[in-house]
Amino acid sequence: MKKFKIVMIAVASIAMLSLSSCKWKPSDEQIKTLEETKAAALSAEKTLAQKKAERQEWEKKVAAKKAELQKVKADKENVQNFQKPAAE
Amino acid sequence: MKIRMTLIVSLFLSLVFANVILAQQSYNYEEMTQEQYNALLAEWQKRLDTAKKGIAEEEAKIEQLKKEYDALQAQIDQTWQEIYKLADQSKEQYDTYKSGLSQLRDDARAFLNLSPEEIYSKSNEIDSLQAKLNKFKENPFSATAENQALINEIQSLIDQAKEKAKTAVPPTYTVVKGDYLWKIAGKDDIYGNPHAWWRIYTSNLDQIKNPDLIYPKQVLAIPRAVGPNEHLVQKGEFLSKIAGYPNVYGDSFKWQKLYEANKSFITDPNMIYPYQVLKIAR
Repeated sequence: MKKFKIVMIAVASIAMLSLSSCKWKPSDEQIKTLEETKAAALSAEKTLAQKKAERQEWEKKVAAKKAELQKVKADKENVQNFQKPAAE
Repeated sequence: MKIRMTLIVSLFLSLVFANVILAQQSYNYEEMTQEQYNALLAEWQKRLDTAKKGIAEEEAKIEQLKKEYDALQAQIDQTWQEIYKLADQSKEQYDTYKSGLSQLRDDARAFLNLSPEEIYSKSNEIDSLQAKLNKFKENPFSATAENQALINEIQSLIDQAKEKAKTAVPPTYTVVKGDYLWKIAGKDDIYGNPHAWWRIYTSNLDQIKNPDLIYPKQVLAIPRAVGPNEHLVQKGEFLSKIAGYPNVYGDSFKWQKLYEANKSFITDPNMIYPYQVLKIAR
């Protein structure tokens, strides 16, 4: 009886071990891959947001330069057509 | 006792360390199926690829904008060179011109902050500011929008200073050779109206016996306000009307009292003139 008990416990243990070892589980390598991919994606999204902001900044600078060019062109025309004022 | 304490602390630190390590792993990998793992990995990979593509596109756009910016700057520089050539001057001369204008504006502002009397006493400085501004106006650089705005501002400050000086109260006037009351009253800084000679005359009866005779170096009072016992005659007024004013006698029949008090220059009580200052005898 005692022997039977021991055998049963052993069988149950082996069965449990077998069952538990059959369930799929990501390996350390896979976990590392997933975590690294996630971190890289989040970092890239952050960089993208920064790049968008930088691009908008440059768009503003270009618009300001365009306005400045128009102003300078108008100034050039004014200087070209300049006439000394009559003596007061 | 000490060993037990060390054990408890070690156990606590181990638990904290384990929690930190577990927290870094955002997923419960123990419960995860292979399909879930693959789906998650694919999702993050897709997000990573999309972000990388977006970064590349943004970098290309930024590069393009930088080139456009540089091209615009080059055009601006070129246009400025053309402006210098047209004005037959250098960039250094332009910078000197601009700083000179700014300095003149500061001077005009400081001048305008003076009291009317101070401005009045420094009238020649207004003329000097105006002369300097006129000189700046003669330079072709004055035609640029920025300088034109500055010039207009300075002109406005000078004009305001001139106006402010007019409100100054020169309390006296020293007669010079060739002066006569009509001429003095007509001066801009006196009354600006020759007809107001009566006001000078009637306010200086103590030293002018004959209004046709004034002498160089005579110091005449130039009153700006009417005193409490005085009345400045206006067009259309006559003695009985003035006597009837509540602040005079309040009784038009007392015109004679008014006449008596001002007999020295009123020869005919039916003839009084604007700008005469009448004494009101109490």
